[in-house]
Amino acid sequence: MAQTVNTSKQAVISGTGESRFSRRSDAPLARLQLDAINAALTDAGLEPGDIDGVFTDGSVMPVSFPIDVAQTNAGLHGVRRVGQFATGGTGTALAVMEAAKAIRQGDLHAALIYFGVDWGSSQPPYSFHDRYRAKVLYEQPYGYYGQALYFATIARRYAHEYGYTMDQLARGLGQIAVDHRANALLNSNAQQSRSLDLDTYLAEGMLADPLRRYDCCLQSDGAVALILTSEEFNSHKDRPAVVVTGAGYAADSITDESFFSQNPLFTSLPSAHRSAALALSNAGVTVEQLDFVQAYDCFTPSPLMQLEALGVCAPGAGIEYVTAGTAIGSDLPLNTHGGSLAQCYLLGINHISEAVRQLRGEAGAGQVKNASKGAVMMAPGRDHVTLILERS
Amino acid sequence: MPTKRLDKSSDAMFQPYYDAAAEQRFVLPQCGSCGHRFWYPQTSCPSCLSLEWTWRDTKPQGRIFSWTEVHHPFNEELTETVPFLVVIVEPDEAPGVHLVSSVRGIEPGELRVGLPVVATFAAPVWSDHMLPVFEIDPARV
Ligand SMILES: [Zn+2]
Repeated sequence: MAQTVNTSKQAVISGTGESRFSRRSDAPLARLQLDAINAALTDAGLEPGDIDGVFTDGSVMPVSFPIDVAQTNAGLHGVRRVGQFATGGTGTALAVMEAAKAIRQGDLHAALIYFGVDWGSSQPPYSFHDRYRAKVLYEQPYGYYGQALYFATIARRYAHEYGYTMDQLARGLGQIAVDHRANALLNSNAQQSRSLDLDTYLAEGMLADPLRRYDCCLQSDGAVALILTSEEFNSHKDRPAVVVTGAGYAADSITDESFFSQNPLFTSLPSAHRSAALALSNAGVTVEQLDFVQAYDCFTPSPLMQLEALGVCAPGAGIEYVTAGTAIGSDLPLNTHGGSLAQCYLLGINHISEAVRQLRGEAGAGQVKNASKGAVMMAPGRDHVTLILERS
Repeated sequence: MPTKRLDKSSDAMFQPYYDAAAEQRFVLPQCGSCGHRFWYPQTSCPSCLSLEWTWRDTKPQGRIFSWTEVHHPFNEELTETVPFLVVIVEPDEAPGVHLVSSVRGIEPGELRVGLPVVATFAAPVWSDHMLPVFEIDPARV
């Protein structure tokens, strides 16, 4: 149900912390995650004992760095609510939505949300879907393995349905990769440090036709932590407060196991359309008012479909839209930190910390001028979250 | 090869598809109440929620819905196998079903969305089991 923003309390993202992002870190995941949590506490001006809620995703962190371990090692002795939500990136965005609600209702003062992976140094994330028997039994025997193949078949079908040539498709997806790279070069914590042009993109061989190397996200070691507080618990009155003014979650009636091959619409994300409409509506914000969008970019077709879901352009017009450019300096910059394609692949939680940086005006060379409203969208699957964040 | 990938004891819902394919039959779950053919198997019919469905013989033909040529081995066991084609087929008798499979006897450059295909049975690139694989159906091109 729609949440109203004009309640007495507002939920502010008053602290963010990022570990060093890299392909392979010398430090274990636990250390990266604690670095991020401690940085977020410092940024928020809070002590560990001030945190009364701890939230993360429901599938990745419960195995690799569960809440009891995080809480114990970070010294969070005042916790009275915890929660694990959805899967991966959708889960951390949903955690922000749920924490914001608890704070607005006065149930919590300071909620910690954390997420990190060491998939850069441990193993690529392809085997993540081995948990799904239909995939193991009905897809993998044919070599339909690795998430790039899902998005390769989506991209080809998209071109077919909307009448794009494969060359037009390549130039659109390529421009997404090029613009993400350009944005990453302006971010001080990005893994990619060399520029990329469209000719270089097009000269790359196919991994899974029509997707090339630069259509795929990075593999990374890194962690992020976010702290949400009520406005009165936000200790930094000297800088802009970043308020969660809108949030929407939606889930399709289709299993995780089935979604990527059996999504009836195949080239669009029904849950993303619904979550975006919800978030914009309860923020009272229109797409035209947004200053940037951070959208989950595991593969280039993913942000394309989410921009369409947000209503930035019509379904099918996405390739035309991104071909015109979405780098910083364009009308509506996409993934201003370089995203998962060029900054770091942390299943999108770094998209939230980047949104906060932009709205505070702390993004340095990568700052979007006068950024006051932004959207975060996660992730391309059966369920989806859109957050609207605003500078107050 | 990954025969171990099929664990009969834990996959009762999925196994009949393999059993039928071993007999060169293509089957899909079909609802006994509304007649809807669906994929993947699940406890209730996704169309009417009936719990009464059975595996029914289905005409082993359809059209290419999408496809990809895989050049990069996303698993080391596929290192010797690349490049290979993966197709998604929409069976004529089951609109909306997206059957992941492979296609033989056609060059990638000739593959098009919408081409008619017909199933034959063989072990695909990453299995020892007989499963449906497709060929272009010359009768319907
Ligand atoms: Zn039915």
